Amino acid sequence: MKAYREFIKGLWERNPVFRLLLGMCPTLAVTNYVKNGIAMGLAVIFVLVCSSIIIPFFRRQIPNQVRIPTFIVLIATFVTLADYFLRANFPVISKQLGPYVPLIVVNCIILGRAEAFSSKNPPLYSFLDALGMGLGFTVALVMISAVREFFGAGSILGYQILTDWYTPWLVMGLPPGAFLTLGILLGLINTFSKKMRG
Amino acid sequence: MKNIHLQMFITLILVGIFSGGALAVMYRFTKEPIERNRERELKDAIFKVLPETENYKELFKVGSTTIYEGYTDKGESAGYAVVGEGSGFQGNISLIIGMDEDLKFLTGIEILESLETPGLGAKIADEPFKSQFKGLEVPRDVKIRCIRDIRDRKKTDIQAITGATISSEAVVRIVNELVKKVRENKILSGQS
Repeated sequence: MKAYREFIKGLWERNPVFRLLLGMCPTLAVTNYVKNGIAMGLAVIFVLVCSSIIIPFFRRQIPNQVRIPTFIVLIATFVTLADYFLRANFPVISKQLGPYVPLIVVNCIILGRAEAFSSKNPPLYSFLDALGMGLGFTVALVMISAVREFFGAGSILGYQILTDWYTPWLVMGLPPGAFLTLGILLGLINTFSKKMRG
Repeated sequence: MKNIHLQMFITLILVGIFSGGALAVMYRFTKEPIERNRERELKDAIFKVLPETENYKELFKVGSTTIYEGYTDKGESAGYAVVGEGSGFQGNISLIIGMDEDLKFLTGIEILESLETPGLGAKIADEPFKSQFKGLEVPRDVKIRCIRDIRDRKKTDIQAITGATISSEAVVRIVNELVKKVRENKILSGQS
């Protein structure tokens, strides 16, 4: 039961984007199209899961003084692996995401979970926590990018939904659109969860 | 005290070895596909700007500019393709131009990489803008201009994209530079 909770909390209750407000940089930067949001989300899940599996095994061996350097080196390794994988197999997406794949290294979700969870919990819980957090992050990116792509380009996942009569709101594909969408979604989610709690 | 130092030392070395090893393995397996992707992209671009090309070869490199010559299936020159870059609105724009074998007119351009604004500047990679360069004659002493008002358009003018003047001007500037470079270097190599 506890294990299940560790997984599910990342999706809603402690969603990294909407609840913890971590990893805002990629959240704002790559969500102009759903495709990019999904790719970024998957890359983050990969890095998060890999580092959360490895760290718990060595958490007692790693001296406290070099904890963060060790985490960062491990995270950077997984990020580079993901980056090379994308470049080799999905060159178009890799190009779209540009520098944001390498920048996963400094994404606070990953170091945050390593510090706050993986270094204190056994591997299974740590893995479930990472999977939940990663999925939560991906879901959040997909939500934001769906809104932005719909209004900014009239399409979802590249499928044109709004046809010629619709003049795309270019601003939604640009940085201001990211802030607007994130702000409005955050507001809606806060109101909604307050109502649920009664 | 000493013990903890040794432990820190060993931990970092082990992490370093692990990460170095993992990266080396990944690099080995992805090097070829990444290289192949890059080559295929270049090849596609050259075939697009020099439509009659069946084969191509790198002639020379000048700084960040590379000049290729395309050949028809009969082995005759099908023109020149020049890859180069310059700064755009938000970052570098890397593009390729094609010119006929006498370097008289452009046969087309393709944008290889750019960080221009989606929906505005990114339109430099779209057909209506790109196709203005197709068949554009470039006399030796004239530079292509980028204009906003279509009414006083001359033959060597390119109409800028609405809302993306800087990106359009950047493309025209880079194209002019590349045209100049390929002409200079062709004279230097004694082919013209």
